[in-house]
Amino acid sequence: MDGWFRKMYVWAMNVKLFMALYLIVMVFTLSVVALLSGRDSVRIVNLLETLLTCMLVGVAQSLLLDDRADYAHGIFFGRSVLWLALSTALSVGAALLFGWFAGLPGWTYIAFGAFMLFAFTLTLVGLKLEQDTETVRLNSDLRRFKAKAQ
Amino acid sequence: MKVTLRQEAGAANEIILRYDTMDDDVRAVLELLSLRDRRLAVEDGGAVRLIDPAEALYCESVDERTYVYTAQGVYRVGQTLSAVAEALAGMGFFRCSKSMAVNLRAIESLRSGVNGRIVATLQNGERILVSRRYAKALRERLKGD
Repeated sequence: MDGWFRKMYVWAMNVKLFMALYLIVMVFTLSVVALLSGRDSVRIVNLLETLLTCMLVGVAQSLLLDDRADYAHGIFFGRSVLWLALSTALSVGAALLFGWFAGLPGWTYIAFGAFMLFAFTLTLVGLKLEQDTETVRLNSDLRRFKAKAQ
Repeated sequence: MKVTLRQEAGAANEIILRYDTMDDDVRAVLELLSLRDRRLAVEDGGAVRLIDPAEALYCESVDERTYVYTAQGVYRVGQTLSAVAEALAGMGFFRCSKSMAVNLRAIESLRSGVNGRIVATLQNGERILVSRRYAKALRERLKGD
């Protein structure tokens, strides 16, 4: 029971880290749209809705892009493309369902979807850069280790 | 088992194990001596032979038995994985998971994985996953050795 709880807690913590990142992006976007529309506030219920949406995106990322995700050959492969499509659909779907841009032209939803897709893609770019940098460092250390051993 | 020590002036140190059949006692003595001499005693088709640990790609524990994997084949060793990894730590062996110890000198390349894991590709093309728990120790070992 203890082992199971620990695993779940660590998994949830990793999900929350990315969830928080997407939440910041989404709230920022809603805030900018609100400002540009002449408003100076975002409804609390909208913030809760974005929280729920980002949680679903984070869970999807954890399930689809787990430890097996290999960015060595690029960020666009089967599961990553699926996650990008799913996350964008979730974001736009939530915006439509909860009426985040009610009263605004229809292209606002399209622009929002494009922006979130860009944000999600940048996340994968960041993960790839992190992996690539670490890989170079690991192999450099490995070469030095083997040279010392000879 | 009868133990006889014979001192001979001028003689080189030599250990001769005389046995009728290779039983557990003989095996235990052989394993003890082989580890001291930094050799691995492995079972090869019913016989026991000593191999250079440098030939080993990695050791793995399966069903409470320890096996060493080389380019030539897979052999069983009598010691536990912990004992083998500890004895051969100075020869580049690293405990990379609960059930595996890899010969760092047999690693061809490393690749960083998601969530802090590391994928090691060996000289024979096999890939070994180093979990996050052991990845940190691996990084330190590569830096520090």
